[in-house]
Amino acid sequence: MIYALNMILFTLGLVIMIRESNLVKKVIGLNIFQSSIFIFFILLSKLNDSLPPILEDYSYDYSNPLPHVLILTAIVVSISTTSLALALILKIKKQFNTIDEDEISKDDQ
Amino acid sequence: MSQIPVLIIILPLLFVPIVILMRMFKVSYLIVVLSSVLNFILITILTLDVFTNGAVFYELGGWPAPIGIRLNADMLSCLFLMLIGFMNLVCVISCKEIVEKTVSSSKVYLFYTAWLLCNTGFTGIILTDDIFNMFVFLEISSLSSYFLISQGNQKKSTFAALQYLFIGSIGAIFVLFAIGLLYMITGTLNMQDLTKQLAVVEEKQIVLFAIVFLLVGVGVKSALFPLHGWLIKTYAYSPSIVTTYFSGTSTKIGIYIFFRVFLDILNDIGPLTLFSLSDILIALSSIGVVLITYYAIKQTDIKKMLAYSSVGQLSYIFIAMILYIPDGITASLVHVINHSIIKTSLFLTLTLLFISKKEVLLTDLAGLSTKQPIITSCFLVMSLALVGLPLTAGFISKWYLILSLIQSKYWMFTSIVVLTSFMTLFYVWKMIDQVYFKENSNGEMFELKKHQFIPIAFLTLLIIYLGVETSLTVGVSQSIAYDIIYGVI
Amino acid sequence: MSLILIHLIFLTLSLVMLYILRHKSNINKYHNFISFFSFVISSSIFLKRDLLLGTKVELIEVFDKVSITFYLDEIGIVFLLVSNFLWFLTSLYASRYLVLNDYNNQNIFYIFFLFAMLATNGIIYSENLFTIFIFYEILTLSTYPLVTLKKNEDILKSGKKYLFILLGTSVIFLLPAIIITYSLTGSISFSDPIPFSGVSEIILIFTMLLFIFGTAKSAVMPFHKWLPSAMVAPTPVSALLHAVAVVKSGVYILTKIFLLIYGSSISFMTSMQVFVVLICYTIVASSVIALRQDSIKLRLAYSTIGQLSYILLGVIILAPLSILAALLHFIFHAFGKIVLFLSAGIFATNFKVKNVSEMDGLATIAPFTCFSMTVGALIMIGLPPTIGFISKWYLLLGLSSSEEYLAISVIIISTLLNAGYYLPMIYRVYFNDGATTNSEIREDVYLVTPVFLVTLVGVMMFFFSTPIVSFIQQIGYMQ
Repeated sequence: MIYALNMILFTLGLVIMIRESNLVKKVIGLNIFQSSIFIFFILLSKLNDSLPPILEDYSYDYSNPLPHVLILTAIVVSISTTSLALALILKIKKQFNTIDEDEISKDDQ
Repeated sequence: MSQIPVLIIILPLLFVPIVILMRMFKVSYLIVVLSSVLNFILITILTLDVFTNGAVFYELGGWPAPIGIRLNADMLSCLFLMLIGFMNLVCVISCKEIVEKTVSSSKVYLFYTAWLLCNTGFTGIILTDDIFNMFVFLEISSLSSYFLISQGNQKKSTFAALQYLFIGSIGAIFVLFAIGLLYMITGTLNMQDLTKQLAVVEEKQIVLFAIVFLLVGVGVKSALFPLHGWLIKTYAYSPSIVTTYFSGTSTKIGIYIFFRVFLDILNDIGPLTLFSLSDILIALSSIGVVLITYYAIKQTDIKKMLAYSSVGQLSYIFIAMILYIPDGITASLVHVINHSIIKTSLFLTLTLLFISKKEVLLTDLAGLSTKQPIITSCFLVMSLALVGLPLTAGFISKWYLILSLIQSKYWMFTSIVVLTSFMTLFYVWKMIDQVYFKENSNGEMFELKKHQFIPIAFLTLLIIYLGVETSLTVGVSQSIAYDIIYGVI
Repeated sequence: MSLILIHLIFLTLSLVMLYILRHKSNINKYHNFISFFSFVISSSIFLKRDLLLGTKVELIEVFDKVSITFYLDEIGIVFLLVSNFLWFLTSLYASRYLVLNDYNNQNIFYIFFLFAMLATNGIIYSENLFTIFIFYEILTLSTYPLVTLKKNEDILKSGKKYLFILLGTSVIFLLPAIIITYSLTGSISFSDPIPFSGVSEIILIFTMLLFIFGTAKSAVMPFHKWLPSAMVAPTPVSALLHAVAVVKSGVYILTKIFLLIYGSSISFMTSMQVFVVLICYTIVASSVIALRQDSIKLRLAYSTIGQLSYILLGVIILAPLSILAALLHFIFHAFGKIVLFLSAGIFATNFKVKNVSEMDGLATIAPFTCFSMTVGALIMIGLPPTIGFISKWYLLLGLSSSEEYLAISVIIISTLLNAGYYLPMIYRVYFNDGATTNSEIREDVYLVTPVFLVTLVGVMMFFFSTPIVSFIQQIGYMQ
């Protein structure tokens, strides 16, 4: 069930990226898209009724910690991608005075 | 245990903070040169070691394989490492004046930082034995390359970089998703372990799902038709030295990932035989190569023309690889090397000829032969190599490509490949026509210093050398190919 | 060191030397000397042929069983002598011709002429298809600057056609054909070919077709258009390269492929009748087109296309007598056609006559040239007492022994057509009165001498034809 919802998120992000011509909205789409994969990884680690993988004295079922760690890295990557994208958009705004993709493509052809 | 594999990745990374902190462009250039030279020396040592003693594994922190992260240097990775290291060295050595003229001086040190990071990413992708690390290194190289592209001196450079960022990120996320799927069914990220686990896995559908996502993700990175759109824009709008650098490395990394994932990790499942994926891919690439060559002929901007040509040549590499026979894989590996060298040298020549020019049109080449006879002869050799005439490196790869297609009895694709490789002559001719038979219209061109001849002449000689003496390319590629297909060297 | 290698190294060094001396005004002298010396070397190779035949000189192994290797066989010796002898005489002719016609880029001419001859000799010495392919492409590329020596719009257009047809066919047909051969038999060597075994007839025929189309230098229709295009080149180029070196290279390659690579494993198959028809079509069609050409050079070019097909016809039938005829015609056509072209060059240079319709009465002011032209024309038609008759005789014998009645009738028709377009030329120069009859201009001595020499050799060959015939009959693959 959660997987299905996750897939909706995945598709949603992709659709936003493809459909929107506003560059900032595209970045938002990209973020949604990335988040869906992150959630997918976290879902993988979850076992039935498992608790967070925090070391304590008594033993119990705990989630697989590896995907969490991986996603931590992926989130860092995602943040840097987003920030780079936003920085580029700022520069585009200065150059073209617009952040609409269609208008930029129309420009100087 | 020898520390060389990890040093190849770490060393450029260590130089990065130094470059940022120094903030001086003269020094930063020297550091980049130093790093590239060291890098190349280390790669050479490692390669020699691997070729004589077999694959080298390096366990980071001493943790054994499935738990710890490992670096894996086998012949395949060494081949690509040598290629990347060499291309990086050539570009770095010849880039000083170009960078000074094209990148604003306050940003030069950042440019070099990104360059180093990009190279680190490339070597990391090649050396790592951990599929998630591959994703991380992919992103390192991609992020730095977005920055490098945005430094172009054309108005659209930033926009091209952003578009590449979007497409590249989608590709990377697809790869990540596929990695997640593979992890879901096997519980491991180590490549060797993954191979073992996948052989006994039951859920074939999920594997197929992963394969499709990987295909798209990596296809974006390696500009597989029809995912090539970004490549044209990036090549056209990024700083010309970056184009030169990427033409020999960036897409080849995509090819490497293909090799690593499809012909190494997933080899036992035969990923390409599922759902006759190979037929679909070959057909797609063949259609692609026809269209792309047609577009290339229509271009008037040389950079775009060569970019299209690159996509076409990449399609050849794919076709040969997908055939999955020893000669096919040999062909594709040989063509990876030869095409990298040919395309890089062509771009490098153009870059050095038109350092401060934004857009290089075909007509700008007019009258080159009278002004720069030596460069013109080099340029002629490179162009003929692109067409694949004998005595040049291009001929060797073409020979193997056609040989493998004939052996696989794909007569139709053989004829397509043969015809399109002839069509290459049409756009190459457009350049030669300008160079030799058109009068120069504008006098302000060809700022070229004596010492800049050296890399061009060297690459030209290399092209001829590789066209005659092929033990370095064909010999190595053949042993890799037999290793992939029969599992023995 | 082998004489073969010495010859090739000599030519290469001469090329470098010519390039260094390209600004010297007496570059033509160097070129004459080089061509003479090359002829001397090839003669000594001919004399020492017993030692040289069959010895292989491997330069470099490029990859598995594919190498750049040289050797010499009997057909090679024949071609070697003919081309180098004619090169020397053409070179004498050219040094005068270029001066008279005000070519200002003579250095380019000599450098690339030498380059083309280097490639031709390379083709002669090639031991395998790979080496031959390399020199084949070099020959195409090196003749291109010769064709476009005068750079105007029309010539560049013709030059492009020339280059694209020759390069295109070689890349599209020849290279795959070589690779198919390599992939089927594992060898592309002439000296020890591996027979085709278990290969279906369709693939064999298909590969042969690829070879025939691939060596477009042999000008089999429909890939013959480059030859008329090449006629924009200066006459020495048309004469030596486009009547001897280049076109004969194409035929030479096909001869070797059919006799050595295919001949070792197959005999004439009924399905090879396809090629006979194709070649017969070329013979008739080219003669018909030649009839309608007014320009002398174009008429000669179309005649070349037809004559080359005679040679191919003899080869493809794979019968001893027809092969003998083919090889004889290989030599004789070279002499006949070069004489015709060089005479045409004299007409154009001295008398500004470029078309057949302007040739009236030339014999009175240019007797030697007209005599040479007549001999050349008779060789082409195949009338006694010229050498053309000998080869045609053997060709008809060979064809009738193989019961190729279609081909025989085509040869007869073509002979009539040949007569139809050569005899009017002879008639016009001798029996018509033209505007030029009373002209003060005479034929240039320096131009006439080499032409007349070639003519004399050609005439002599008819009377001393027995040694030539017996030499060719000794060739191993006649059996």
